[in-house]
Amino acid sequence: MLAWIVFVTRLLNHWFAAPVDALLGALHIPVPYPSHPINNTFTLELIVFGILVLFFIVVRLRLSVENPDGAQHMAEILHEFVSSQAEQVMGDRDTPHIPILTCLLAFILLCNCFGLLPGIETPTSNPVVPLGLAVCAWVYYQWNGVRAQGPIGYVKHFMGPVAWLAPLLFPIEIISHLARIMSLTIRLYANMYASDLITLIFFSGIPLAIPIVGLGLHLFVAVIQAYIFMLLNMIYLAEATAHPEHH
Amino acid sequence: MPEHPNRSRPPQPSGALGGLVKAERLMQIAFILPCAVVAGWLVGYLLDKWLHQHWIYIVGLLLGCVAGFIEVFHIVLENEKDNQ
Repeated sequence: MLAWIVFVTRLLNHWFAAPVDALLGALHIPVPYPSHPINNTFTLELIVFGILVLFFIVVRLRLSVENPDGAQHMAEILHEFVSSQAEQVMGDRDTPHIPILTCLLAFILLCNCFGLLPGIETPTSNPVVPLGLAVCAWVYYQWNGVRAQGPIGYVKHFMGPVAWLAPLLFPIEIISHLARIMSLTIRLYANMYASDLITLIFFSGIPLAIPIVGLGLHLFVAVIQAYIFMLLNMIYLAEATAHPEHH
Repeated sequence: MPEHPNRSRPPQPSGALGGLVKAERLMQIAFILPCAVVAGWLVGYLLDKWLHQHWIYIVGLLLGCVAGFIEVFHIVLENEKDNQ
């Protein structure tokens, strides 16, 4: 782990250990090391968050129709990509969910790409990070499902089209929705963990220059996994917010 | 099995990306079955704890199996439709 990340983690623990311990204590979560509740993974997540906030602030401040700069081009490409995917999946290019889906894609992509820096463990190769992202995305699409269809309409959507099968389908659909959290988590975690291991093997066991292959593979997996996570959440959102009469 | 009215069709990106997305969706088959079984067991286990029972986890396991198989069938059927 690079020394500067360890240093930032120490600094964060020095400043925020007491409030973090208090928060975890209030939630009845045991803290194994009360003097160091913040780990390097969390620090990396904060750094990614900071980079993204800075990026969007810079884009907003330097927004120009006549002379768009590199950052604006990047933001436009990202937005255009997510919008085109939303048009295919949700049938609406200007859906209000574009910002959160774009943030999800950018956050996961940047987290995944941190593993390209030698000595840094990819934040998403720690199961807590994908689990947190999956739970947030799950709560978001369930909440939007309730908002779009109403509480009764949304519960009906779990019962399937055949009335007499509803008592059987309802628990099955509930379990199937809960399984999505797990499948999203395991997919991202397992892929990034494996990718980290492969990169490590390439770096430690093979002479100079060859590790570039490992890094290329890591970048490929990072991009694909970020895209798949965003795409699956888009599909789940489309399912949750679709009105049955529209089908 | 009747098709669920709220299931939207996955997108069909073209080229290499489309192939990868299809591969990832098929990989979902490997994940979804064990995940559904574990989710079913977890729901049953929590209900057992809450209601002071010792049998609901078995129902949860069975429902998890069924949910997993239904999801697998859906993924396979969607893939079949894409191929046609």
